[in-house]
Amino acid sequence: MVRNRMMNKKGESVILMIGELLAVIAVIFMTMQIATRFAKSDAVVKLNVVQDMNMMVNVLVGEPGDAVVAYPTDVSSFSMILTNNKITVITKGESEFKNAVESFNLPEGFVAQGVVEEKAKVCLEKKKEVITLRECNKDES
Amino acid sequence: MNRKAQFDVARKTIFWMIAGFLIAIIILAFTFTIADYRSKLTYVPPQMKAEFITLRFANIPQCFAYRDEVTGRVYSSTIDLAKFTRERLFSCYHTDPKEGYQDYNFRLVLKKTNKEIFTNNYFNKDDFTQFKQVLVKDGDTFTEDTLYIYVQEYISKPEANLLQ
Repeated sequence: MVRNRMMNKKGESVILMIGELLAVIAVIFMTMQIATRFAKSDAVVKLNVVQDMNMMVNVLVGEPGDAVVAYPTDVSSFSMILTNNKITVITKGESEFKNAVESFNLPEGFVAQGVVEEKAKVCLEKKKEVITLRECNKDES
Repeated sequence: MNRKAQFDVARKTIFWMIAGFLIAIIILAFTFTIADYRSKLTYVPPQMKAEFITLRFANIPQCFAYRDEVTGRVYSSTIDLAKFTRERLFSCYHTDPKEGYQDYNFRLVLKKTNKEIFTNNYFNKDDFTQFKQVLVKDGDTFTEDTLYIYVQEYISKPEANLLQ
């Protein structure tokens, strides 16, 4: 009887230890998953690109002459759409909710337009009152 | 089950309840830390954003910059006083009538000339101020002046208070 009770206690402590180990492994796995998802995600880059583009549009609006600005880094993992009141940066295959969007206000008579799909070098060009998003020419990058 | 065994089961249950609660808090805290870090990585100072938007006021003829009608030359940082009106400001920078209070809005003041105009969703909530040294063209005379740009960065949505 005494021996049986001792075995039960020993068995219980082993099960408890396994349970604790599993819990610790689960916690480590979950935190690793969160960290890995963050590291692999290009959400931060996408947000930075859309904010940069928005500021570039505002700078071009404030420029009295014509100008071309090339985005300095490779943005081939994104597609971009420029319209009269916003710029949208999209990652192919991701849901619409994950698009990065920034809005701006153009003066009357100004037009902003352009679509670029996964091009490494992207340029914003201002000609008179038209701002165009396009792939850079070879001599512009 | 004897009393000791009952006590053991109860003790373990309490232990796992506390442990589960703490583990959940740790995972949540880690997630929030990463979200906070991400927002720090994408932070742009509002002063910089406002500076880029306000470039247009004194630099392009569609806003207030003086353009010589004969030569077509645009004089940056020179404000044509005849253009310095609210209507002109609306055509230069106009926020959405319904939700535009969440955008940048501005009050523009020419100090010496003592003229003031503001955008359509400006509600006297000045978050910061910018200054630009400008020339003001009034008829045939040019005078030095300072353009004060009071920036209203953002007004949060009026929710609970107005709904009551």
